[in-house]
Amino acid sequence: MFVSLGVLTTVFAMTACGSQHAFQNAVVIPRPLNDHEYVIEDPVNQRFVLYDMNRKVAVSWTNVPNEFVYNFATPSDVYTIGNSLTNHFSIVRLVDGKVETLYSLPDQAHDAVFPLATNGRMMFFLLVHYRDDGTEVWRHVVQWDLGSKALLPFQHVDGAIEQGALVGTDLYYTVIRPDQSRWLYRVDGTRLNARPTLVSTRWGEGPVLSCKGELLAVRGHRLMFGGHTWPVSAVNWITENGVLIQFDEDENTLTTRADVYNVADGRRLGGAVNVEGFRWVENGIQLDCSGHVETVVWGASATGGAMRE
Amino acid sequence: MAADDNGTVGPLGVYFPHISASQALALPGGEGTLTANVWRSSYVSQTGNALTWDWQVSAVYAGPRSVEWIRTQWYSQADLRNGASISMGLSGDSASASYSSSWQAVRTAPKYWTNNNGAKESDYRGNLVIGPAVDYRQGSIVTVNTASVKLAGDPKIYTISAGV
Repeated sequence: MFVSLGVLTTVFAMTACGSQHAFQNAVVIPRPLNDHEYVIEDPVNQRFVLYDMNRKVAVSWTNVPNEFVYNFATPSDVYTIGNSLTNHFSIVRLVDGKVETLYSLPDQAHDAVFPLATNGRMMFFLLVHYRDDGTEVWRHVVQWDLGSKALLPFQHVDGAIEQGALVGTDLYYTVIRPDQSRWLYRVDGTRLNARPTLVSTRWGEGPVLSCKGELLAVRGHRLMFGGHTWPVSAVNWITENGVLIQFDEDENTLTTRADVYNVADGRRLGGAVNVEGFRWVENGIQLDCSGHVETVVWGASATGGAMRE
Repeated sequence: MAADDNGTVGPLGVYFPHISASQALALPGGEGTLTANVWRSSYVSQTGNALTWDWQVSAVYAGPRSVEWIRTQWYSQADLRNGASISMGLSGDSASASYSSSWQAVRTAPKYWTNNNGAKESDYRGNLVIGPAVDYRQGSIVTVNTASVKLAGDPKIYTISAGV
């Protein structure tokens, strides 16, 4: 009797399985329906979320399987979005709570693009090319030219490029070696024909972040700057004036938490749990949470505080 | 996909009938397989006005690559009425129907658990409670698990869901 029930259930489930790609009410980018709804980004789940400011709840989100949003590690309203199985990548901008497409890759089936580094003026992406079967062929670092809407490759940068950060106009980037070690390189970000310089053959695992003209060191899964340390989080961002923003899982509520620090003195400026997503505000970040909104602001010197509504 | 209605033997030799499902995603480029598993007891126990099920979810990566992080994310949904509530036993995940006699689909707040220590599996378990029992539409309970993984060196992340 027990085996028969199991077989029957399996047959039913396999029949239902045939329709798994017919996704009902599929949403890649949610659209606001009124003036108190706007789109934000959830950086841990890497999706766009439609947030209702009146009710302080997320009302819908990107719900197509394997469709994800990728962001820079410095403040920017530019993201890339694409599908991990079918590619179809685009560069998009989140403006006034709405998403607009800036550029769709010409080879939708074989190319993918990911944010690498920006300072708001210069913008670099990682361009990856795949075969039909999904195996990777090459990676390039490309500069985004907004005027011509072109991705311009650096001629001498190659390898398994992973992360990057700008220090002045120098682009630092890591390359994963066959033995899984990470090598750090530097290249002049203003010249596409510049030759990279090897900086370190022992760069640690973790994010590449720059602050006040230098890279943050990573030792034993901790970020280090000016005598202060922070554990590496799921998401780690930094502003030009030295504000570290981290998103990770909150082990008490099993929701997303955000923490904002001034790296110069190690002080925590604010944060929240139950975070559904965020948006940049002038000299600050607005954390849209389930049930409330927390805004953490900082001045030019990265002093600041938090405000809850 | 595989779904079954079978049982497992607990630590005290007690037989637990359950319903479970698995969905597997073959990652592009032969990088391995990501599987979402979800498990819920077949029989609901009733104590007073409360209905209780056991549940368990997991995300499993099988393949040659190192794992940067692996996540299991879950919720349950049921048809409720008259202010009845549903919880998967975790802080802040409770949800309630409005005070109406018509049935409403009510969903718990999604929760997740991530392993970022190199492990190739992430799992979680708990008890699902609905009450009062009279305001639960029998057979309407659904539990969904979404598994996600980020492999070292691959800029993409991958996901697959399974439900019972």
